[in-house]
Amino acid sequence: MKCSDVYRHICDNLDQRLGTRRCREIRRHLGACPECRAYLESLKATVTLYRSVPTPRLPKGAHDRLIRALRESGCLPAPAARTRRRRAHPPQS
Amino acid sequence: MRGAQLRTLAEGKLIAAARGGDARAFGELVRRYEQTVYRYAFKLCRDREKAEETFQDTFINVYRKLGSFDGRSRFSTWLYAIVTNNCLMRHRRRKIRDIEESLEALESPGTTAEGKFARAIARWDETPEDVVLDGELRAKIENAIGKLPPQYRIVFTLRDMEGKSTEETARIAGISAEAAKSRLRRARAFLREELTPYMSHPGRRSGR
Repeated sequence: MKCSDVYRHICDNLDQRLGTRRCREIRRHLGACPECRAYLESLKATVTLYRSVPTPRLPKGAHDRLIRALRESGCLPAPAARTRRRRAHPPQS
Repeated sequence: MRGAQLRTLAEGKLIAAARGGDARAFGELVRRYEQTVYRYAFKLCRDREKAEETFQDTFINVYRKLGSFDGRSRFSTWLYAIVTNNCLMRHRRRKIRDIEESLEALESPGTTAEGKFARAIARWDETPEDVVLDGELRAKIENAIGKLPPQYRIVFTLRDMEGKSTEETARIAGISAEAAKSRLRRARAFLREELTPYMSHPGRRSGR
């Protein structure tokens, strides 16, 4: 297997744990080629770095805004429809 | 059905109840998946406002399309596909062509007759443990992933950020497994190139 083959196939499984013939060949090549080994390590580092950037959680108020949008779209009933057995309140603007 | 019952209801039964018009069951589906949907939408959109718009569009679409969910794929796969489509529809197509051409170049870096790389692939001398995720590096990462065309960002996000398999990634993105592998390879190579100035020392780059 050549460096160019490793370059094309290395990404599918960065840890190369699969037992396929191709993965065994990649592992063998990596054992003898410091260039490809360094490239693989830098790809793993790339993924680690991108994963390390935190993703924000749902902002405060977004749930309520969603429920409002669902009601306006007719996906959820308006609150008055769910509380009709209770004492009627004037709708809030 | 009471709220406490809904919270512990198996997903299949919950979906069936929501499909049958049970608004509280649909509300429970929203509660279970809202963080997942918002965070995935943010990873694709890279913008809080667009992520929230996508988040709302997604659950409206879920409500409207729930009748067509046939259970052959996992509900989460179906849901991710809706988020993905909503993000794609919102994405502006500017500057995509230039980046796609550079991604094509990364697909075939050029090799010698012996199969060695014809151009230098810069070595990284730093490891993620060595570097501090300061404002500058974080901005560089954000900028790089923002430059990825959406079809590449989707595959990278699903495989490497969300931990989906190649097969599930392909199903969500509506592409073949081979296309998913190819896009992942290009996306990783592109993102690596973008970070190389931070992770390698110019004097120690490979000359191969």
